[in-house]
Amino acid sequence: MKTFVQKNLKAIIAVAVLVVIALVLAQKTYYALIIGLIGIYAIVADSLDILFGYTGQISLGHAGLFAIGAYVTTLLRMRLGVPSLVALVLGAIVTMLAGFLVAIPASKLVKHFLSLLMIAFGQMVYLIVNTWTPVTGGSLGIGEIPYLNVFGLVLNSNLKCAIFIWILVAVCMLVKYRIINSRTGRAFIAIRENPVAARGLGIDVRRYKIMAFAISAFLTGMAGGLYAYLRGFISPETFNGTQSTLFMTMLLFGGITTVAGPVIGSAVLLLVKEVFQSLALYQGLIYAVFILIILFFFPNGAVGVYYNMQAAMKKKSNKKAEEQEVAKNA
Amino acid sequence: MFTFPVILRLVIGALMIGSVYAVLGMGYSLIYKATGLMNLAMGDFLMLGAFVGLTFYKTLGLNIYLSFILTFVVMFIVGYVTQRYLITVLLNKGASFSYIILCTAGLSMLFQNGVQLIWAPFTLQFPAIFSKASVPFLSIKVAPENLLVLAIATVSAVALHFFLNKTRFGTAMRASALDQTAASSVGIDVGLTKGITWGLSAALAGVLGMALGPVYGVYSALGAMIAQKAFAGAVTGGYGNIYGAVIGGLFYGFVETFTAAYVSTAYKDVITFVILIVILSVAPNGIFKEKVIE
Amino acid sequence: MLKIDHITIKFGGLVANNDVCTEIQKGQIFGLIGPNGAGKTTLFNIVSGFYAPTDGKVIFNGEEIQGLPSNVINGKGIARTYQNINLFKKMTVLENVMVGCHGQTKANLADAIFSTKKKRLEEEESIEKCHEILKFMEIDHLSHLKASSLPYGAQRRLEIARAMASNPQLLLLDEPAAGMNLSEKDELTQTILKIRDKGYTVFLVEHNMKLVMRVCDNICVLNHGIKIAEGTPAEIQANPEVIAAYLGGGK
Repeated sequence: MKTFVQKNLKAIIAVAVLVVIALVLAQKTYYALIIGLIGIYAIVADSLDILFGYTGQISLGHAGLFAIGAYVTTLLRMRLGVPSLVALVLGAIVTMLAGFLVAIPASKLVKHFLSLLMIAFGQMVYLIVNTWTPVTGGSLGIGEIPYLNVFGLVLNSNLKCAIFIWILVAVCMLVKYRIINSRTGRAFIAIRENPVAARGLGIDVRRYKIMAFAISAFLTGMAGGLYAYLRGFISPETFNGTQSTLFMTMLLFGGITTVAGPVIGSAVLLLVKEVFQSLALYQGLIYAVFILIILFFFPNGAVGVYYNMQAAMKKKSNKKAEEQEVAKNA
Repeated sequence: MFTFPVILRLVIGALMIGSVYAVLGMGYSLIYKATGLMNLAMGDFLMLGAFVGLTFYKTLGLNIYLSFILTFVVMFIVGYVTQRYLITVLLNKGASFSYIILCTAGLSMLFQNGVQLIWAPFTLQFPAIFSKASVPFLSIKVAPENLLVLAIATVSAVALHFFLNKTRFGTAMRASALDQTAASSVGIDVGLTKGITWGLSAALAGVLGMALGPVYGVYSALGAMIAQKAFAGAVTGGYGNIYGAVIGGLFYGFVETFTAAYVSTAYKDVITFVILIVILSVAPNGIFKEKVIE
Repeated sequence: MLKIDHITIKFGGLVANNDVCTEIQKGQIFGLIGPNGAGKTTLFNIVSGFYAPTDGKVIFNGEEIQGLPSNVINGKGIARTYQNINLFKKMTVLENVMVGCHGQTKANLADAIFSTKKKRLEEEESIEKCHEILKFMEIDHLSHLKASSLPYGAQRRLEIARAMASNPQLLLLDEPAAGMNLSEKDELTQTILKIRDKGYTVFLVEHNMKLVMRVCDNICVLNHGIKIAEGTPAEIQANPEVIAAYLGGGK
């Protein structure tokens, strides 16, 4: 354990400082809401990382899974009176089943066809929640969603809810880390890198692709449920196709296959949104420009930029050391 | 409910929107054949065409033919520039296909939000092109603008067919789609060909968008749903096969129109996507089998 | 051990393998040679499950395996390398070999999430086993590098190591010497003999005649998808039909 602390001292200090800042800011309800949302989107981005970053399966339909999680949780809680935490878990499980179902055809498809299938899936969910008014409340959505109750502790403020969300973010990161550094994770990466060779080494490629979809769907569904509890209100517009693109952007901006990437990505994109809140007309435009800038100039994401800087600095210091060495020898 | 005039009206409606899907789907297939890519901004080329056309026709007061021609030219340039100065640059940086898809998704957002700033964030009225509100057709009356859409789509499809099969340029395009190295070794400028492919697809989409202006009005999300259905049609017909795209596009035109009339208006789009998902699940290579599975 | 029984495969009108029969004994190094386009890799693809034959049987340890998916065939004890190297480029050398252990390990998703003892033990064992294989292939000192950063010869060796990690009885090597220089080829010859001595049966496609003649116990010659000869290296070298095929075949 000591070595872990020593190895990651900088990261631990950074996290501690961020937690303190967050807790101070979160005294204001509005900031607590933003911090909670960042956590929720970080979970979605993490789930996409498992699917896209590691397994190489693109999804532009995750808003649909997010919607299923949010609506199923809400409906179970409000229509059937299921305890709130149970509703959250069931919402995630139903989303996982949906992800499993869509993965059965999706795992056979490549590239454009996979993208298209996921887009179609997202659109279908969006249209259904929009039109099935008696159940989903249609375009008006569902309001007054009760607070989340965690074993008797009612999360009746944004702050409490945000803390709970961030505990789950930490759990998600741990789970992701453990999956990736396991036999299953290596199978995922092998599929991304070379599906033919992976199959030749005994990996059931379809089975693992479906597994990646299901894991990703579970986490996204859970995030959807958390969203419903945090906001207390859901409507279809939160779950449109643009949202799916934004999820991918968050992941790419932060950097795929990294620990911190999804959190950084979701934080930056959400802050951009909040900062430009007053300029609603420009918001989409800013996002669009953002996506293009990331793709063109920072394809490895923010974490990638950091590593590049680190590598450059190392090179510099190595060079310096070499020069000194040369000087000494002379 | 099943009388001849009602059905005829529905068929004309289905043909109109289906032909739009068909031509847009041809554009998708063309881009896929020539560059192996998928363009999520195709619907926004159509939408942008409507805005550009509106500007020429209403704001600048040009005559309708000239407006169409200028829209074609402007949108051709937009498509060409997109391919040569965005997509190619990304590809040269070694971007994988997922990044290209996201790039076109970003472009789509850029266009949709850009037009709201440049023109208006609400629906603009496209003035009637014809002096008569309706013309008699067999036993019913039809808005001439609807027939114009059908006519333009048909002409575009036929023209594209002849362009690809009967002109030298079309041959070059098909050659580079088949084998880039071979094509460039016989002196075909493959980069230029790809740019022109995108330009053509965008130009056709833009002209259709302008033609749709009087029917639906001009607004930023005009192309979004149309593009998705056109793409559904292209895939259903066999992605990469332009004639399959025509059949697929018409199919979805009919599905949508008749579902709205006889099943449910609210669920017409849901049904389209359900059909698409089913087709992708059971026969992903479409009617004219194209290879899609690794 | 492996019996190829009247295998025919057609792609459209093209017959890539026509009624090929041959048999590989346990502990052999068996060579498959022939001019370019003779259908050697096609036969490999059938044995390893990438193609299903149009007709005929592949019998491995008394069991029909033709047409089974390649991951299942790997589980039965057949592993292969590829002519155009198919490594997991962004993974390290060690990780590449560990993917090879996939079929030999059992830890599932739940084990991974809860980091169970079973998973941790298995992981340690795999790492140890993979280092051993890498040592055997003489590339253990590179184990922490990205696979794509290896020199060509080492990449070929890594492919063999990765295949060995899946504990196969039969190892299919598809042109393992392609692109190697002379001294690398000599080393590879020794390695292949060492692999055989370790108890693996080796099925080899190779263009380098010197290597084939030196290591193989038996050789089968294909031309235009048809078997034209089979026998010991000495017999093959003296076979007039083989000589004609190579001289007339353009290679």
